[in-house]
Amino acid sequence: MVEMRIPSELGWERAAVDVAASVAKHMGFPPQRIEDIKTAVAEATINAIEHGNASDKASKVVIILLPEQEKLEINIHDRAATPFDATRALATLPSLEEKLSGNASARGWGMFLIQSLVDEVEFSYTGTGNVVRMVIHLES
Amino acid sequence: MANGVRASLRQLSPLIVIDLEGEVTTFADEAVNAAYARACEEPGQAVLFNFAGVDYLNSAGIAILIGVLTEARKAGRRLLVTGLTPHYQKIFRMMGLAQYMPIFETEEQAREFASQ
Repeated sequence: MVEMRIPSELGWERAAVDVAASVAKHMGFPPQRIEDIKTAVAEATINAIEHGNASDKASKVVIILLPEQEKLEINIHDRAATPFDATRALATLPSLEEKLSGNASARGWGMFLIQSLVDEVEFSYTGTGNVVRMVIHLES
Repeated sequence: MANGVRASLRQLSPLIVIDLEGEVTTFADEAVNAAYARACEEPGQAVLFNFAGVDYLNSAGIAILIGVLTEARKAGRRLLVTGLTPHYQKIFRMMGLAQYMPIFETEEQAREFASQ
């Protein structure tokens, strides 16, 4: 297991990305899958920093990487006071057309990218924060 | 912790090229929009964003491009893209952006496209 704690400050997600890439490379993931993992970890960590921890630098985001024989599990914990409404977020795909017409924020792609790039994603609330659990299979 | 982006302009007639270097994240907003505003002062109807010098791009950075694209479409200006890694080409296609910002492997291909 590899565990790291980062301040809730944008930019620190790159530290999580670098560690995840290093673990994935060590496990033998192909380069294109490592790129998927890097983007998924970046987006999930940014969500934890901005939304979960409201960019409070004193509040840490915890990233736990669990390498196994056939898969890599990555858990990202924030310290949000209320649960993240994952069902709603996952059910609403971002529309580029809506964004280009000015009817929706240009942002809001993180969940879509995470969902698209990893094999499994689920959200839970521990009572002290949200956990995003992502799984990437070695042979997918 | 976050590093910035450098955006510089050059002519590649009939294109204006915006070379991006560094990290394209939420912090790139001012630099990218300022570069695009300068590009609009130049003659030509197409702007090529060159990502060859970008070592990190996230969804907040892509959202800045969507904002630029929104403005460009209002002005009837075409935006083109080059220098993306295969991974980010895939991301742009997944998001539907490639439909509005054609992706080219080389600047020359983009220039030929803009010359047609």
